[in-house]
Amino acid sequence: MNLDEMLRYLFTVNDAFADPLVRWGCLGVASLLAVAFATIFALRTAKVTGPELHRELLVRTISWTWLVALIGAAVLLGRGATIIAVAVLSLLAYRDFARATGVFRVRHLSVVVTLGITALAIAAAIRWHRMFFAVTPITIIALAAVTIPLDQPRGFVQRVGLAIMGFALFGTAIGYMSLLTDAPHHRALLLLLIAAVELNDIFAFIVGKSLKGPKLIPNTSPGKTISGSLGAVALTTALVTLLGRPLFEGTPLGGWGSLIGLGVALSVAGQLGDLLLSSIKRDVGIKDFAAAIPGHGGVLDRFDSLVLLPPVLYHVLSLVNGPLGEAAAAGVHP
Amino acid sequence: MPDWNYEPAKDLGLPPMDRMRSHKREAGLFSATARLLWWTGWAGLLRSWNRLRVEGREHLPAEGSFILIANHESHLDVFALAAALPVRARQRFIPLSAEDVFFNRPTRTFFAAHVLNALPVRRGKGVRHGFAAMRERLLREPTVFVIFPAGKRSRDGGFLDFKPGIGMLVAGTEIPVVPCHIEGCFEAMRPETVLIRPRRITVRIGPAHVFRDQPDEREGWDAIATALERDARSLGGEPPMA
Repeated sequence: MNLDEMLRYLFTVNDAFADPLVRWGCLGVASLLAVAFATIFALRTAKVTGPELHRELLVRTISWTWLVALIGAAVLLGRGATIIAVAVLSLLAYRDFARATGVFRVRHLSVVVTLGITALAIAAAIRWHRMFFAVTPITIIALAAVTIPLDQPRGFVQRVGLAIMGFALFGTAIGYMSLLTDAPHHRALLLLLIAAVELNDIFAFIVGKSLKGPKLIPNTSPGKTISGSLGAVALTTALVTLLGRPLFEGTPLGGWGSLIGLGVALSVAGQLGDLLLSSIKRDVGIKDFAAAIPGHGGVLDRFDSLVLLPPVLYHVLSLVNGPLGEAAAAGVHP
Repeated sequence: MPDWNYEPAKDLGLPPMDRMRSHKREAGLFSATARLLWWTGWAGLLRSWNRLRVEGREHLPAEGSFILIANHESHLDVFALAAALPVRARQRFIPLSAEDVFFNRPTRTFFAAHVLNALPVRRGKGVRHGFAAMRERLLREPTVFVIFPAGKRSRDGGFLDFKPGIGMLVAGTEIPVVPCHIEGCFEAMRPETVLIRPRRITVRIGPAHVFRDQPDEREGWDAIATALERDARSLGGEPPMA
């Protein structure tokens, strides 16, 4: 691929709405937001919500609108924009993690993680997937080695362990989203991924609040119930199956059985991501990672459920439907 | 297995604007890089364009917190003092800046916090209120504050009398105060212009004082201001105080 083709591949914008799935997806998200605002004001008018709760709901939903606009721009403005946005999200998520655990004070590690995240983005941009998969082990080796010359063995295991965990979760796992730009219908696929993650949270919340019942894991996250968790699996699987049907039509993943499997996998991975970040917060002893997004907390508080999903989706796609990236471009098939 | 020893950022959980104004602020890689480039870039400019000369660098404490004080005649003063510091100390360099000028709008606050690494001080009535937070910061982590004890910029290049505020900050503490004298900044950048003229700038650094034995009251504050002013004046060969 020469430079011209690559730039066109990365920054073509005018085909954003060429895919009918994207048109319907955007319309769906916009109507969801409209319904949310209408509901909030209807509940206030009917005096169901007090002024304080009303304000909180409004602040949260306004933040959501901004996030949706940013995510929409990142997905619609071409693969290059998506990859840059993913890298920025990785950096912000790692930052929240590092500030919460204190590993941000070791600048050497921050530099290596930043370089690693940049390398992941570049590998995805030039569609060199083998390079992408090489960056993670190489970065881990660099993280293990870079603080040795400081000659401060006290706290070595902790700082290296934290940095490697942070890079694996927020660099590599989130970074997989930029590889997904190589999949067919990549815009619709990314919109489906993000919609599934966020609705999964909302399903768990609504089902849990209405059915109540025993707690899921009270020490980690006292608000979560078994009913909410199972309800989210059921509803998210239904959503992924229905929306995935036209998306994966004509591929091995397009069958009902595979789609249900994918839906369950995404829902479970989403909830595990949520609980993973809750476990970290509990262990460190903080309530939120930051206060950057009004009504939501830090970047990592908002995108906690997203963290584990991209690798699951990518590997299911590449194992079931065939390789993506340079292998696909070269016409190699399993 | 024993617990790991997490130490979250001291400013964790503050909304962005509050965080940028807070004395608890802790920098990450982005702001650390931005401030290093900014202050080092200015040091390079002053060294080449203004042939900056630094005398008495050996008086700077090698580590720990300290306060630089100097006469204030130009906007360049703070850059000259930053340039006089070794690179390691430049990482800890915090100019204290007027809240009503540098921290009154979001973009300025962002610039002041992340690039200048400045912290806000309230002028006038609220000034004492901020001292506790400043002292706490000096004692908690290695910090280099720059304070112009005159409280304002001289508009005619003359040496302004020091106010006792600096005394309120350091009386009865172990914090070293390093008196400096800056010469040439007024000629290099006059009050009415934004141009920097290629005049030589000289920063003279004197031996540090510790005011452990000064009482934290009017008498001690005045004595501290007087001692520092005398040092700063004699470093620059200025006429002694009236």
